[in-house]
Amino acid sequence: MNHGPLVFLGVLAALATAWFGMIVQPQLQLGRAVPGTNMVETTALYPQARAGLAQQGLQVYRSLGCATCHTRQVRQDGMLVDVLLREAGTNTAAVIRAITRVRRELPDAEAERLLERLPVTIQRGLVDPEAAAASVKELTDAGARAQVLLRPQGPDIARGWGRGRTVAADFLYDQPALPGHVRLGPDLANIGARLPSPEWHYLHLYDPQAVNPKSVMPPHRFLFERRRVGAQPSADGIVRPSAAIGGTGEGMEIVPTAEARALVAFLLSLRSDVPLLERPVATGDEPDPETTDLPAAGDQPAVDSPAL
Amino acid sequence: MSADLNPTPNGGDPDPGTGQLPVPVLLFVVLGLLGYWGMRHLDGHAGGFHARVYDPYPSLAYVSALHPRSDADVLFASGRRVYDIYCSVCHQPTGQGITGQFPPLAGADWVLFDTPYRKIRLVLDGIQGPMVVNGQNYNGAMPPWRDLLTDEEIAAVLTYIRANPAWGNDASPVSPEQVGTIREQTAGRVTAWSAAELLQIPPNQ
Amino acid sequence: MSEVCAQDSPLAPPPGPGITAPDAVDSSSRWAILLLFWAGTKWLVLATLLGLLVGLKFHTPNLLADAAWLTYGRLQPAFWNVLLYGFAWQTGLGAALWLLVRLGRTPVAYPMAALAGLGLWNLGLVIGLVGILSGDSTGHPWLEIPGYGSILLLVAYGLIALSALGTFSRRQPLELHPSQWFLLAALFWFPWIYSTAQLLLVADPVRGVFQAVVAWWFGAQFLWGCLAFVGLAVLWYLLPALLERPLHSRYHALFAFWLLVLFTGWRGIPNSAPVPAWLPSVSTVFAVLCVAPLLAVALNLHRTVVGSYRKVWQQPALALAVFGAGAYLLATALGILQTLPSMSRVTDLTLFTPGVQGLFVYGFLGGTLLALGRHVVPRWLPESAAVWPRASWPIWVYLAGALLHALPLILGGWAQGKALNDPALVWTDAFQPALMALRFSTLGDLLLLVGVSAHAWGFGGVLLRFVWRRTQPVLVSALKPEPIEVGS
Repeated sequence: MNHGPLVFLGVLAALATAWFGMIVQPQLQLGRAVPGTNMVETTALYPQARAGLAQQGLQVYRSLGCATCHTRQVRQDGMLVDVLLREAGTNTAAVIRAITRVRRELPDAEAERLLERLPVTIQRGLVDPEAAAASVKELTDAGARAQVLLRPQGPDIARGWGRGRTVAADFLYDQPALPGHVRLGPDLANIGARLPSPEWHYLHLYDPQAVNPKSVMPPHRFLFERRRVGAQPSADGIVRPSAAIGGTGEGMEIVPTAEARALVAFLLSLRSDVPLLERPVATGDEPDPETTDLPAAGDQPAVDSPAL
Repeated sequence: MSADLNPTPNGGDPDPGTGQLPVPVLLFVVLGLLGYWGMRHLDGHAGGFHARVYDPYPSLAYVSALHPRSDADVLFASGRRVYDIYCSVCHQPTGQGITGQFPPLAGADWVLFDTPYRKIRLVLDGIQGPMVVNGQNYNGAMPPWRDLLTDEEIAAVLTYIRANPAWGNDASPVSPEQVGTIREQTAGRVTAWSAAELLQIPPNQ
Repeated sequence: MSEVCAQDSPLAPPPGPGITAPDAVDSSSRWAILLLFWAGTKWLVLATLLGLLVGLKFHTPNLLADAAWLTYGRLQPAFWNVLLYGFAWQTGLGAALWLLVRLGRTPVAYPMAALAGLGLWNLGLVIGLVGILSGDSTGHPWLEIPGYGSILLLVAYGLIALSALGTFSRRQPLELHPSQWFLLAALFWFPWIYSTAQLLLVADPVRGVFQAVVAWWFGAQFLWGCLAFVGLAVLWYLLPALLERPLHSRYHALFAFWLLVLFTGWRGIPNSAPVPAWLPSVSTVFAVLCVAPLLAVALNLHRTVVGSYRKVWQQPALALAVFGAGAYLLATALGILQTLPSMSRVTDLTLFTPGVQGLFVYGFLGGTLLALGRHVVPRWLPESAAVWPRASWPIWVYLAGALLHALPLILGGWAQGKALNDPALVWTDAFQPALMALRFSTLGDLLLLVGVSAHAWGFGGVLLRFVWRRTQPVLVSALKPEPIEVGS
């Protein structure tokens, strides 16, 4: 260890190997990705390029440092699968036999009672999707209509921040791609679906404390201009619920600038709930807790997700 | 200032040197154990190093199994069987056909055309005479399959041909209902189609 | 309390004016290193000021919110870039140069290159800072300096590295000290990771989320690679020098060196990232493997200091160095722990990560580099030995500030993560633990600013005094009127 060049060569070899593994290899896998037809149920391409105004909005997002507080990452802890029986078909006896084959501990009388409150969840909280598919096949062969329900698990999803985790394809067209690194504000991965109202966003950018008094988000008043009302008030002028900082005053209105419009267009374009091969999402029909005899073990309670 | 240039080894600092004690074997043992843990961790969490497997899914097979098999998937699977039995003799298992004799299906303009109705007619009653596929001329004969294949089988094989990723085809599936409609419309036809005839029919019929 | 070490040691230069320390450097090379330290100190003052502003914005969001220049989203990257490139890496390069001089028993090679690099580095930083505040930020964490600034940084680094490597190649003793291995690694690591990041993010951006992968990788390499190596190099030298005892074992350092070099390059991708599962799990595995070199470093440091821990209260430079060592061990341990899936489920995307980073930069790097500065400067500016460092309260304030800045963020981040994982809590309620932590952390920022400003005031005063002493005779003779010839 007394030869400088040898130390240098050793360091070079180690860093080069790691660089190859962590930079070159992912570049080959991800960096040359193109929009793919990996969408489930359709052959459309995903992702679609954002409209021009939303692309400009991404630059405003970058320039103002929104990614220092907000993330665009929905996390997921696991996946549970339910089997839902929708219709019993004509051959009730065969369906009851199928139910008892799938749920061995259930007596025939119980199975018959289940058929009285269709649609009913036959199996809940399965981890193995093949087992769920086998159950569905049993029921379908008996003439019933059954389906598999996917329930992604995780606090982000339970909070309503997404229907499945974010994946690389969601960022494909983003230049720069800024998934964020700390949550000092709510996650924005699906904000276009959760809060589709431009008026809400304009008000929130102008005066976050007017929307949420305990918010720590700084006001972005420089994204707006205060000007005299013209012949009639602008369509997207901000209507403020209370006279907090910077009152409007007589004959004046607060109107978003082009930057604000672009930023809001970008925010409204943020969706990451498209079902993809690598991102199975929650099946739309959520099972009503009333329609099963099974406890909701192993997952979080369904919550009336607030917008934030 | 000249004193500044006086080189002395010490620089005024004590030079205590470094000890020569060996590294405890325990640290190597710890390293080994951590390496073993690391291997186990990669087994469980690396998703097979596949580009489409994300945490928390353990493998591509698992995440594929999560997607409900649509009707198109079922048709695709049975269409492969139909193709292997009936079509691969001429059009080849690779879908490349034989130049000058049997047109290719992989990447073929006729196959990938938006609507399937010309293809359904073609399969039902066969095609004869000159035909241009992907800019190449062909002048052969394809037998009719109306009496040999059911609606489901024809829909399945057309779905397979149109959406076979191994051939680079990625077009929409064909349903048995569509085949049934065309079968009814063309009931009673006894002669094979010619390419010119087919091309005259509007695409959406 | 004054620096007892300087006066008790038989090797210390006697106090008094006009006695220069016997030193193996010429005046121009002294300037390169001193100015790197001085520039780093100035940027540290600015960084703590920005950090305080950024922290205050959580308590009064309307503070300075009227200008886009001073919005949180621009001040926060400005803070980190100033702290990392202005203070940590620049002072680290000064420390590297000094260590190579001292351990190689040779003056700085190409001192003009080092000085030019220093000037260009600071110019690049100023331009980069203005770029970030005016909206040209690249958006990627720790890489926000726009391309027109980062190219200057890269060129400047090349000049300083040229000087450093030249100094290394002219070394006289044949046996390499562990610090020299770590410095070689750090000097090579930085240009590779920085140019990779600039190429793939700024010059010819790659597509999609892979940009974030490069940014995460760079962040981990810079922190756990470059900065850690420089800090450890300082510790391997400084602790034995301050305690006048040998470093416990060269072989412990060797074990740690090769394992850190092998494993660090794979670290960086967090478990929450929207990337295929293999990337974060590879990073996790290699981070956990780093436990072995961490234990070797801990053993080495502890066995070097053991028995002399009480001296910490009498020698502020030793206090800084030992605190720095402790901060390194704790921050590295936490950084490794947070890659485990069971931990990252709670700590990812919370204040835990900035807390660990703050502990690392303020605690470890700040502690070791400030300790080195206080140790080195009096030896080179011997007139200063009697006047600085005299007061040690800035050090205690700094240490308290570093602890108060980082620990609440770490603990609060954990609580924030727990709250975030409870879907019954709406966002505002889930954020409350973080807000409480930020209140304490901002107090820590205030203490840091006070401590650092006092330190910089003293350091600046000493430099000024030195310059004045050197230039005063020249000025006096230039201004003295010519004697008038009387007679013919």
